[in-house]
Amino acid sequence: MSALLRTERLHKAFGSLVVTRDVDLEIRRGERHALIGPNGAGKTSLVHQLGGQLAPTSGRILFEGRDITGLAPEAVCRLGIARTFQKNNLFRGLSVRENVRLAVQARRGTPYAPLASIHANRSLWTRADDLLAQVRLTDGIDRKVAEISYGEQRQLEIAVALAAEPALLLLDEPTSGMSPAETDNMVRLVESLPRSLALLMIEHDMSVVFSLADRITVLYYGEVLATGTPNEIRADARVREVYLGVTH
Amino acid sequence: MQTAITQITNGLVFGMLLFLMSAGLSLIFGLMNVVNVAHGSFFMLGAFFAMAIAGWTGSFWLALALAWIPAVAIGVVMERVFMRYLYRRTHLDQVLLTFGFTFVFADAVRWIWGPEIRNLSVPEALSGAIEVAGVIVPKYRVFLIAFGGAIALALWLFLERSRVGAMVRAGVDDAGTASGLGINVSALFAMIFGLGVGLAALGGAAASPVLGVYGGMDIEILIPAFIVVVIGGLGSLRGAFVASLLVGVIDTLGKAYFPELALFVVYLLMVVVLLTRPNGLFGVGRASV
Amino acid sequence: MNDPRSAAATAPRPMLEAQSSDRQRAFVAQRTVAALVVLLLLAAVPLTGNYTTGLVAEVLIFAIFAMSLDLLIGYTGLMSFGHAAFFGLSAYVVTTLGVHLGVSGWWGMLAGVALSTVAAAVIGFFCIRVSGIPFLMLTMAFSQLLFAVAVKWRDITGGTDGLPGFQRPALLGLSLDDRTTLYYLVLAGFALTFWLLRRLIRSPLGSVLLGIRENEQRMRAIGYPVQRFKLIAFTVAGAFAGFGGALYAFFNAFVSSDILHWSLSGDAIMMVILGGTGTIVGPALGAGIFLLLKNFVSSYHEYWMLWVGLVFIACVMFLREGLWGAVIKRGPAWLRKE
Repeated sequence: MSALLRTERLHKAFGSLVVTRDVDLEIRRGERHALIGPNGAGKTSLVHQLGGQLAPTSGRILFEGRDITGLAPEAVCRLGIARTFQKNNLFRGLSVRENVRLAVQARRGTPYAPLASIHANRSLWTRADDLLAQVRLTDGIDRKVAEISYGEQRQLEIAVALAAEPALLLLDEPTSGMSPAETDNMVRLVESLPRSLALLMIEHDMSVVFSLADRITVLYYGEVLATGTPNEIRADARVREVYLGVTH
Repeated sequence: MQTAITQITNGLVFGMLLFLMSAGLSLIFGLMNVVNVAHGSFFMLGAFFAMAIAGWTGSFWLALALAWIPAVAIGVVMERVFMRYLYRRTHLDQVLLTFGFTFVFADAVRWIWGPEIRNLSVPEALSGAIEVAGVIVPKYRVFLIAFGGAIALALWLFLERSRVGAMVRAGVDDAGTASGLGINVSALFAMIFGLGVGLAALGGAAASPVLGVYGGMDIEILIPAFIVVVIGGLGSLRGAFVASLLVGVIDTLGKAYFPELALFVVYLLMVVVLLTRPNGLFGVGRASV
Repeated sequence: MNDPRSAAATAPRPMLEAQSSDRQRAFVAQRTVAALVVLLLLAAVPLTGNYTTGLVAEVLIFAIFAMSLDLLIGYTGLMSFGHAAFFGLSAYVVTTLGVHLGVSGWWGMLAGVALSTVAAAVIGFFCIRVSGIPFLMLTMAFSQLLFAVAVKWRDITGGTDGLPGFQRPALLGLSLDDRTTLYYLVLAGFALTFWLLRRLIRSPLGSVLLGIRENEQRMRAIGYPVQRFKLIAFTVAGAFAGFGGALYAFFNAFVSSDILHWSLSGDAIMMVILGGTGTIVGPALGAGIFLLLKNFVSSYHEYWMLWVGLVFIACVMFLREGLWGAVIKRGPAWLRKE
């Protein structure tokens, strides 16, 4: 039960606007950890700092014991943290297969090779197909991303992130914008992910959170309000106060 | 001492002309996020129109007062008929469009007026020189410095003190929000573009007795103007003013005292600024293509 | 997902796949035939006389220049306004080494390409640190710096008057002063560049550049050191531009500071846009369009820039994908690559 990722008094301020206030977060190996909080609580900003898109003002981020604070996204990814984005952030002009193959190539291919054809290395394509099958995307994967449905794009987001073979996957609102049926499918997808992979999910949908999460951290105005198991969080007075009136 | 004052005067003159150029460029970028590569063409058009008007009317003052009108008309047409349709596209496409226009303007000018270098004569009232601190300085140059300063002041008053100016500042800050507040951003775009190119044309007209009137002056003024805008910061009028005078003086002094290095100094300055402060000295930080 | 159609769909799918790859093979065959036809036509150009031979050679040289620029604009998404720097630098190296030191054009070419590559790596290193408008300005600034050097350093470069007197080397015993032989050298250079760029685009490295153009942020998030790849693209583009510049020196046997002026970079941008960014054929076609327009219009009408400008404006507004882009989109399926 060692901590895979730990933040120590992580703090981010834009001038006088504090979006992350002395956050101590801990994610354990193989854990399913949900990050919840009202809009504007700073959840995505926190994930941006973990992923390297945003540099913290102060505090530390430790991954597998190693200080990764302020590292660039590509370095963070290579160390074993992958992420999806709240708004689909894919390669729209490329095919679904190529999106994943490109991600696989970063990990297993030879990206500097200037003269060989990308079709020569079939193992990358096979691995891409396997990842797509894992996220239940098997039909029409030669279509361009711009041509597939929104729900399929959300699934693709995860396949692209999985290609990095991470130890920790950051999911930024995986079910956002989805119908109930699509949400069900996404939940089953996330459930089917291997237990060796730790997850940090930002989610608004409480039913998703309570069915998937091992532990939950509640963020409020950039501060950690409470951390605990779903039952503990459900019973927490401060959390109920914050969510009073919030219907979803 | 004599030379120093002369050179600094010349530097300030050049700086004021650069300000007239770069103020418009900077405003257009600040509001519309477009780099108007054809801005130098409007400087050139201003000079040619001034020459034409002076030729018809025999009056320098009329030329200076009116030359900007046809230039602004052309600019507004360019914005309404062509650029407006590209706002939905990437800023790169707008840059490319304005770039295409430089070709059209350059040759149109040659076609209508021919390739010879012309000159606009300085009016009687401003010909000759005066004495400043024991140094002889051409009257027209002093006029240009005062003129540039007056325009800068008027522009500042307009932006800071008038309602329309407030709308412009809002639009420069955040066009989306401004639109949401009911400000007619589309009309604002046309106005700003017209104002910007009008300033450039005014600069060209005012500069013509000193720089001459010829094809090719569009590119020659454009690159220093770009340098000024980059150093001063895209979207910042204060930055444009400070950087214009800085570049004007440094370039002129550089040419006077280090003729071998003349062209380099200003480019090096730009390179250094871009690498250390990519948003310029006062920039708003919205450089995206 | 549990799609009731999928069970039925698996049965006929192997046959569809086989048909599809048959179609792909047919397309490849058609493209290869088309390419050979074009090559044959190009090889037959010297039969049309000295003037057209010279014109086509110029087109092929600038096609190399434009294709190299498209590696930046169309593939990596870097809008460079200073590409003439590498074309011109190489042309100068070849010519000055030949005129002042009597170095053979072949060694000069090697030196020219090498120096352009190094210059691109150095200039690229600085320019890559910024993006968007500052990148545009910075590339232009560096290019203008080189232009200023060429103008000032009259003793070596001949300044604005230029440097005549370059002796073309011999090619396997044949004289390159013969228009036809010179043309075939240029054609070979063009074909080599075309082939290499085509392979590059279809390679893993090429796929990375494409990814950077499509979504730089995501490329970082999946582990690519984007800055490093941008520098690679800039350097490779500079190398090919240098190759074009060397061929230009051979072709013209004369170089002046015009070759480093910003307007040449602007011309190249026009060629790329007119022909079609993001393709290999596009810029080559664009070079043809631009130079043919220039030559054709200027023989009837002195003000060719006006018309080229208008065509360019129309292109940006209505045919943004360029001529070749439009051909691919609306033409027969076999033209589209896989």
